[in-house]
Amino acid sequence: MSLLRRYRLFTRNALSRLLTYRANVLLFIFGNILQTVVLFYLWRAVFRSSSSAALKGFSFPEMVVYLIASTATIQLTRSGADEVIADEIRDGAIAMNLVRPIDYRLRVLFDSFGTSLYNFAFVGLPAIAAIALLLGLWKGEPAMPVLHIPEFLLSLALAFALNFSYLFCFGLVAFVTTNMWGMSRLEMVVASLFSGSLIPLVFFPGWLRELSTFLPWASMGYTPVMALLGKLQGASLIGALGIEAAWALFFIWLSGWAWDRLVRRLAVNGG
Amino acid sequence: MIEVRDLHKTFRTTKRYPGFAGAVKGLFTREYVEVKAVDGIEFSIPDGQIVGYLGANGAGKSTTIKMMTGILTPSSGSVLVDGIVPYEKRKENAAKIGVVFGQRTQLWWDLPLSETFSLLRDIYDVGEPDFRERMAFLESVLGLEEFMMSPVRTLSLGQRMRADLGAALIHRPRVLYLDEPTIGLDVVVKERVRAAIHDINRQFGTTIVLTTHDLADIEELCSRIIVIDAGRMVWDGSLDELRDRYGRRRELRLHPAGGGDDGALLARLRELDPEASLSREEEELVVAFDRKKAGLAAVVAAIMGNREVLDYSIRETRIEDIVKQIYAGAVAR
Amino acid sequence: MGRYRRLYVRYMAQHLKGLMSYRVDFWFGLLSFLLNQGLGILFIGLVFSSIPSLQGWSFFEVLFIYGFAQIPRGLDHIFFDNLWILAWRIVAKGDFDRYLLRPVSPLFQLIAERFQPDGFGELLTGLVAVGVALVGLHLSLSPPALLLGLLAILGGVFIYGGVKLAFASIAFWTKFSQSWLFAAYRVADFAMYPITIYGKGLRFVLTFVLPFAFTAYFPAAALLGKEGLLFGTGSAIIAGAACSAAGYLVWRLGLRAYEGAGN
Repeated sequence: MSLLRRYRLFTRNALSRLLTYRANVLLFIFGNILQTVVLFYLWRAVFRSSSSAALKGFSFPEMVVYLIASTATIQLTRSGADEVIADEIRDGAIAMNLVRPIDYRLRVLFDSFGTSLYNFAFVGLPAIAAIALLLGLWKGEPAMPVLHIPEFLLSLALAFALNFSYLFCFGLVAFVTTNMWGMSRLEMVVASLFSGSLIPLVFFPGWLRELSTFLPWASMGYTPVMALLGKLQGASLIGALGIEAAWALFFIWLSGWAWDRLVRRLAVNGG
Repeated sequence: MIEVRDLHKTFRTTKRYPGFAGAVKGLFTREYVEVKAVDGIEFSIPDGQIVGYLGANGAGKSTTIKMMTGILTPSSGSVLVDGIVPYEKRKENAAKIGVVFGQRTQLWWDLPLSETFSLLRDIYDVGEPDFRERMAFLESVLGLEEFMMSPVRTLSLGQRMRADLGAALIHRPRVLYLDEPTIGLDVVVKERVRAAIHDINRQFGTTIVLTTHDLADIEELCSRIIVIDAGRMVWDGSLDELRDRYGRRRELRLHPAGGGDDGALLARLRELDPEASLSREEEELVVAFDRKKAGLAAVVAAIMGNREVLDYSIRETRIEDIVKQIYAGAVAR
Repeated sequence: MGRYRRLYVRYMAQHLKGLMSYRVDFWFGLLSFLLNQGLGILFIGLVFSSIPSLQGWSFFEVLFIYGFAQIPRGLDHIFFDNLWILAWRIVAKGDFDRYLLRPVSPLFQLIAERFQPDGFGELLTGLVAVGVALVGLHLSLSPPALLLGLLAILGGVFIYGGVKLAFASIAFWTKFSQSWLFAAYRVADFAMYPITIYGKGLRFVLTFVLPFAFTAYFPAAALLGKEGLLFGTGSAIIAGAACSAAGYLVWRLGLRAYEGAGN
């Protein structure tokens, strides 16, 4: 079987596994949409309570797009690679995977593609549809702000690479600590804050705002969405993309290095 | 004690479509499949009897047991355990029975074993003096003192099995259901568990229903065997009767030193048992014969007279083989 | 009845004993739950830096409602957590049968068997938020008001419990029902904020379908003087009773289906 076909099989299997229970799928989608809907209503109330039409440079339609795009970006980039790895470490399946004639990292990567696609198809898209519907119901300005797709896609690609290698490293930490659950939850909280998924980073007080743009999480979520909305132009865009690329390269390197160290150690210790 | 009359159970499950396309199809359509797990089973078990309940996997054993313990309702027919209908008066029935699953434990996983017993004492409302007396008995019969204080998750399989057995008996049940109680245990521990079961039956007069794949369990404990296959009863009698009727085939596997006249050997064997068979399986020579018709010594002599033998082993008919035979040829009593 | 009480005490004693020996993982989990809730408060704070009030609600009022919402949620998390496990694992792995083989209510066994201290994260955050809000509002609660508030919280706990029981019981039919629970809890998220900001349809759902509005908004608003005190707290108790009854009904139906179909 050709290499590409083999990897495609993994992506398909990941999707197939996830499609097995239909009601679960629908409800999961529904639940995720609801999370965004709460924020929608909250922001609507906020904007209604404000004297100006824009808050920290966001109009209401822009804020709604921000919400949707934030969710969608997370679905597309946060693939759970760390869980996959941690699980396999825990039940020892990783040893088996090392023996198979497939590059482990690539395998996890394609697995992540599958998960991302699933997430996007079943969570992201419906969320977008639902919010677009809600937005249509809001009386006021014409709904859609201008969307800068090419910049978004570029930033998204970088964010995916960054997120994947970051999570890969995180998953490898499972070799060192016996329980990942607590750490993983902590990471999720920190990530959700600093990636702007809770609230756009411009709302942070001065010094924190500055700091957060340099942290990796901003590159994972905030930068793509801001690029989409056209809030990053020219110099600031290049700067932000540069930071993204830098972080991506760092974590790619780190994941490779850690992986090699690990494989060598396993070979010595026999797992 | 236990009366089972014309018991039937049919299950309905959704059909699953294979492959990826099937999974997507499964999101949009639905089809059902009906499975008859129990098809007209009937028997009576008197007080104090130890019954072996046998059958291949999927034959309907666990389904019957579930209906007897009250956790599954029959499609039709009836079950009476000590005068109670278990699936109607579940809690009342539960107070009188003990259950041990070989694969799953009833003990509290994170707690020390002693705590399990304390909890059970309150759940089954066992009076203090009775509790102490029975604990003492069970501890000695099952050897529980050594790990009474250990958390259940740290116990070995053998220890856990003994503990589960104790836990199932602390309330002096009238009936004990044992589902594969010796599975995965080493020979010494198996012996111990069997001896314990025997002791308990003698001491308390507990009726015992035992499902197992281990022939030794049956031989040592059961006075009566019921065999079930494809939801139907195909045998109800003692082990000796069963063996006598179906377990007469013995298989002798040989490693011959070299070639020899197979035809002559077969002819000689057929003098002893007209239905004897001789076959080759790779390096081995396999001789099968009816042990009622041909004595082992005679068969061995016949073989030795024919060629030199380097090594051999004897195999008795396994329960599964008997079950297959039963279903293929015989009629349920 | 006395036997159940004795049993429950015994189960709790076990859990508390276990509490003593908790490892690092527990603290991490607690910390992360605390932080999670903290994020919610942070969000409110950051938002209020740009606006004077949220559709008529001041910062401390919103904080009060948010904190009040966490308290029954946390208590439900602590005591009824095994219902999540039912939805997720117990039925699927065939571990449910052992509850049926004992002469004690399986629901009681299921609930008593698990004590989840993670819920203290929500509980603590809620209490702190409510405390800070009360100080910020210069509001002190009279003893009767406090008592009614506590009763309302109790009602709220049973609203969560009842809904959880209903949706978890679906596992008796489908083996897994954690997605149902997940969806139900996402609906509950709406209850953390004043429901006046939502559309009419949503408010209807939160009041009459999945009455999470009674876990926080109505009692909290009552304590803040915006709704009748007796109404605000009494309704929570009634809603709690109604949800529990409904949940128990679904449970019994599920149990009957399970006994008909096995696993």
